[in-house]
Amino acid sequence: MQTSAAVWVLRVIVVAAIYYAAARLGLTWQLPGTNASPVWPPSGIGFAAVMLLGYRVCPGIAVGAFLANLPAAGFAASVGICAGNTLEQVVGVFVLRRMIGSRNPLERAGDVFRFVAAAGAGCLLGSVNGTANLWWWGIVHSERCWQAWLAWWLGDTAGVLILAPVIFSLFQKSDLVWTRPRMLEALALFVSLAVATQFLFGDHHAWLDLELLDSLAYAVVPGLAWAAFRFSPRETAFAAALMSVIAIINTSSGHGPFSRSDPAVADAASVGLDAGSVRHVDAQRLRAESLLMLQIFVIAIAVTSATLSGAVSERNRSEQGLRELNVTLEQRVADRTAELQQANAALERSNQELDDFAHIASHDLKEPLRGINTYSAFLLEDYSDKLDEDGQAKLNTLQRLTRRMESLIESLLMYSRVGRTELAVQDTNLNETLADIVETLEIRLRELGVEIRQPRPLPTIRCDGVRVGEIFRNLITNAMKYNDNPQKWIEIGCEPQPVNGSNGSVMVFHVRDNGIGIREKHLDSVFRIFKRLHGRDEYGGGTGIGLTIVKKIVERHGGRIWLESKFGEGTTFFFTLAQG
Amino acid sequence: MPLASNQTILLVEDSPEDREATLRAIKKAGLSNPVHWCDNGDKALDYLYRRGEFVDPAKSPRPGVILLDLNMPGTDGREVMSEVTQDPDLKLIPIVVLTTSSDERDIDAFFASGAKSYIVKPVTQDGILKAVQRLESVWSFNF
Repeated sequence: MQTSAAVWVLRVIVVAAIYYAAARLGLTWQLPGTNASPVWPPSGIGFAAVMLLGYRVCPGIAVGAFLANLPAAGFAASVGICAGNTLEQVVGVFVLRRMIGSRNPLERAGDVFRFVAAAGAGCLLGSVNGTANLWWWGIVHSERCWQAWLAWWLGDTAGVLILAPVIFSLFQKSDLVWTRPRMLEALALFVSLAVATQFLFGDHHAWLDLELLDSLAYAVVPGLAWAAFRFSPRETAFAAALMSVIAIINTSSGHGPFSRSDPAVADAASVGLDAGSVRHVDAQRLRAESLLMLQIFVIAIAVTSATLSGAVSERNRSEQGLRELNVTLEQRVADRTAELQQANAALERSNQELDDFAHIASHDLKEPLRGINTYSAFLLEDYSDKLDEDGQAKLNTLQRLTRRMESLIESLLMYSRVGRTELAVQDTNLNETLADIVETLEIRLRELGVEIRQPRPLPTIRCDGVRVGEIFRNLITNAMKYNDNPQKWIEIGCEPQPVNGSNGSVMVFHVRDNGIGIREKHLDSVFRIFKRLHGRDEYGGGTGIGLTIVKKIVERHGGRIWLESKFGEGTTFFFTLAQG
Repeated sequence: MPLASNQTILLVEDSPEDREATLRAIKKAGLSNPVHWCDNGDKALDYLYRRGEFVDPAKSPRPGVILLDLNMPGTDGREVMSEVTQDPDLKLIPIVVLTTSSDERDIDAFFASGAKSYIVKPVTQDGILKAVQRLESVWSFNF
């Protein structure tokens, strides 16, 4: 972002001023004689400033840090410290950006951990540099370096972890919709969290003397969980900051679970030191040590609540994504349905056209054919005395061919009709259906000497009786045609069969014969339209469409047809009339 | 009411070849009735209602049976059938449908719309005899 020099100067001055004020405040809690404080809000301010405004505001941090340290640390040490403090923010933000880019570090649990790592790393640099400066310039004795470093590091880290999210998230958009109930809930959250923290960390001994309360610091955790689950990371950061501020104020005035009591002061007095000055110095030291302990607690709580809140907002986002996906999915389903409906309408139209075509085929194609047939018959009748045997044979062939042509057209028509017309489904007693068909075939059955066997009665089922009759007619006709056996029989039966993967069963019908059978390699092709396995005039001829029609009728009922055959021994056709 | 030998047979058929076959079949079946041929539905209705060229009742005796082809140009056989079966006088004349379809559904539909019998084309002596037989059984059943 390009900003004018004036804006930049203004920003640097504002950051410097805020940083300076926060640093002076932080120094009031310093470990005596170290210039290192366990409570160090300026690190959070600096970190947030660099995150929001970029590395160009660093001079502001440097000036603020320099001026704040100058009175106690002197010019040289202040220069060293301010360089370290500035570098701390730059490195922290740099590491964070390297890991997560420019996205909000508070909106994913994983990013929160990266933020903690970046803050810890940056502050480690600043604290080591600061402590080294203090030691080098003789402001801190060697034996207190360790403690000074720890206070510095934890103070800076806590400052970043508590304060930076608050400042940073103030400038981020939040998805939270602030309805009245939510505002009331937020009010309830912050008031109850403030009251609870004050109760746990404050001076309650005067009116409730309960030692156990001192070990209940963790009782603030549910309040933060409340914030994390019901609000965005911003409110969670605010809640953690509110809790920290109240805890720090109370602990620094000697109250709460982290406040160290006075035995050390008593010890100091017992070795004969000036009670007054010892008391002052030691009280300050005790306070700083208490705050140090508190900061560890505060860091743990802040990290936990920020992680929780990051995870929650991650979950909310994916839920939102899922909802949106759902909506688009519904839209896509609706679109697809409309497309299918259109296709269906088009199909219906083309079915209608096919219907019309079938009519044309039935009437207009068959009419001249019928004429040829009729007139060749007339010729045979009227001129048989004028035609020699050869001429008569040729006319007979002509007649036979026209009849064949007509039956081909007829069967094609029938096939298309089965596919097109609605099934007239009703309760049908298949015994009656079968009896009707057998009756129409009776003469031929008797001629061929075929015995019809029916081991058990057929059921009454819902189907199109006329079409199912066609199935029986075709299968029985085939069974009696393709049979060389002197003792011909056809068995029609049924058997319920369990359906895979369900408790139900489906009725499997069969038509079995002891005829010529079908070679295995032809099993697949018997249902193909106009496919015949034998010569045109063998086994009584035929158009080769019967099984195609049978298959179509079965499939229109939602059923399935298959066959088993042994060449030379017989064939069994099985079919169902319902899904299964 | 079996077909009396002097009653006219009205043949409504657009195809001359089919007409020839039908006439021959009628003759072969031993029926000597006069046959009046109309090659479309409009002419058949004119004949039945005695309109146009058929105003003279002498030229248009009431037929004893109508042999009706269904698919014809102009007014087709279905319209003729629907008019005849709705007319209080004409509905007494039995209609035999000449059809190219042997599908049970179609045949059921013919009966539902008022036909008394049917012959699947080509019309043969056998077809005529069976149809007339069926007519007679229908009549004897009705009266």
